[in-house]
Amino acid sequence: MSSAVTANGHDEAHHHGPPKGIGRWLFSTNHKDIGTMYLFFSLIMLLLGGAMAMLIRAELFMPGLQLLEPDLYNNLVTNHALIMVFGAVMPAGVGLANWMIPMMIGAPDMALPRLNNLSFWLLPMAAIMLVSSMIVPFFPFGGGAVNTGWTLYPPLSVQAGMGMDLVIFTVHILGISSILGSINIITTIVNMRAPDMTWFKLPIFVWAWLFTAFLLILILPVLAGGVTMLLFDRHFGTSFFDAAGGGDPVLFQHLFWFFGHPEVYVLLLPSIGVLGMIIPTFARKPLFGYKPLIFFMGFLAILGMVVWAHHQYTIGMSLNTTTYFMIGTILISIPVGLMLFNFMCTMWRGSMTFETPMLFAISIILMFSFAGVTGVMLAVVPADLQYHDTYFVVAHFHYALIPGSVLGLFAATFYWLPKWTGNMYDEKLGKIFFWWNVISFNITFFPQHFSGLAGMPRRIVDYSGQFVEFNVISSLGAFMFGVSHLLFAYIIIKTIRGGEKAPDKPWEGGQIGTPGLEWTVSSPPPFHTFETPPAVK
Amino acid sequence: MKEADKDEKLKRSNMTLALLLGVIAIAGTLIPYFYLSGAIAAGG
Repeated sequence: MSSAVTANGHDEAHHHGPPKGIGRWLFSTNHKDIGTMYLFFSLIMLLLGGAMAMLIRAELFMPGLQLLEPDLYNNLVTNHALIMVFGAVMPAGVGLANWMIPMMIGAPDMALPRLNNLSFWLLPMAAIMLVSSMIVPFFPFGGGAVNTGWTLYPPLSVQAGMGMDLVIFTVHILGISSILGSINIITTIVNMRAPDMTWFKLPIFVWAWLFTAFLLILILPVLAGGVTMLLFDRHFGTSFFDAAGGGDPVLFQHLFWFFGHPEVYVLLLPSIGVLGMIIPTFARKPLFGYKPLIFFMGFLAILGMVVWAHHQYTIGMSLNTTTYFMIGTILISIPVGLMLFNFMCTMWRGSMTFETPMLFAISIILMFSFAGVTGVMLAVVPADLQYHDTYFVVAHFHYALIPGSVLGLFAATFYWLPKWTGNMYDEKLGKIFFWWNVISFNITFFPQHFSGLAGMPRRIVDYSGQFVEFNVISSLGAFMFGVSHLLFAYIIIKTIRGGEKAPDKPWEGGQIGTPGLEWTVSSPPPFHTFETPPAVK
Repeated sequence: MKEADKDEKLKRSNMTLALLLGVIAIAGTLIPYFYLSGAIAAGG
């Protein structure tokens, strides 16, 4: 590795700190700089996707058409989901991996630093294309809006205008970026560990990312293949998904969900890894059941890949097939439940304190469990036939994905911000953000369970007057929830600019709970860390 | 082993593993086509 750095012409920077000017960021091969870029990109996308959600909730504040044309509304729903999944949550996870994995395993950098640069810089290009897909329908040549939702189901996606092509190419580019990032992460973990860093000494966050990276390599190519077939149906006269030409639109659903369901675990697992770092720190106890937790994550990743069709119970599969997918889906609650028990047992009789990362961690356990309960409800076929395509599903997956991944990313940010910046964040503001964020999240999404159970369909610009109360509450909560993220951005900027100096080991409990290599370097860490492999206890 | 040899070996090992994972990813893009041919063989 060190010779690769020298051969890159980085010898000077190697000894004199980071290069100056924009070149530092454009041509960076440093895992910390690239991690920072991923995290900032993700924050920008979070605010953009959140602004779209605000527009959606403003439209749904009252029945009738208020602000948006139906096509634009549907386009916003599509882009909100794609931006949040591919632009905000996934890059944030990769950003954390970039920053922390080399420091946790005692490596000087990622295994393939130039590939790392490429993985990141593909993202802004893809984001520009994705946003363009929303703009082109406003031009005469643009055709109809991308009104399919993030699932991109044909035949609607075959009929959509030019924006759909941009979305397809965006998915290709984002897929390439994530696959390259995953290859880099796996190679780093397998090959770059410090000599005494054996597999079962790896921090749980590293294990979580190892499973996530394998999942990404296995599922993203299938989505890429599926959307390429969609592109061929749109422009080259094929009929893969066109029943009139002998194809089958349901085939696309299978391909999409073969990717789409494990994707949930791609979003979830890094946050599970984060909880495995934070909870022992603030409970001042080693993680309960380290090896079982690794097994549960692996079991979850494997099981998550073979239950995809529970998203499609209504398409008319055979009884045997449906039963298999139902049982498989319900089985998922076992490893997930056991993971949560691991975390609760870690807290049991611990000497707990409740700093902002720990508050987020506890709230995640509570709220994600709630998503687990509604998930089991949705897994049961006869019940799902009622809930399918209603706001109950919207409530379920927002409870799964916001606590299960977004809040985990917030927790990680507060936990590692002192290490990254060398400054402590403002704990009072952090706690205000926590309560504001979590309370408004629940005001937004809890009522949607009831509107869904009462029959309100999802992805619809207008609704019956009977649902108005739930929607008013949901929209008010959403505005509060959206604005809370500006406070998050403010806390980050404030911490970067200054504040109380963070010691190398900013969390007292870290020495008992998670005494990893990342705490042996200074806060902020030097530009190059572990140029000689560290000793591992 | 000399330090330079060690580095060279590590670089080769990194490249080999990365290429192997890349081949797995590229093979994955073919899954939809196998799935399709299976569906056609089963009568659509």
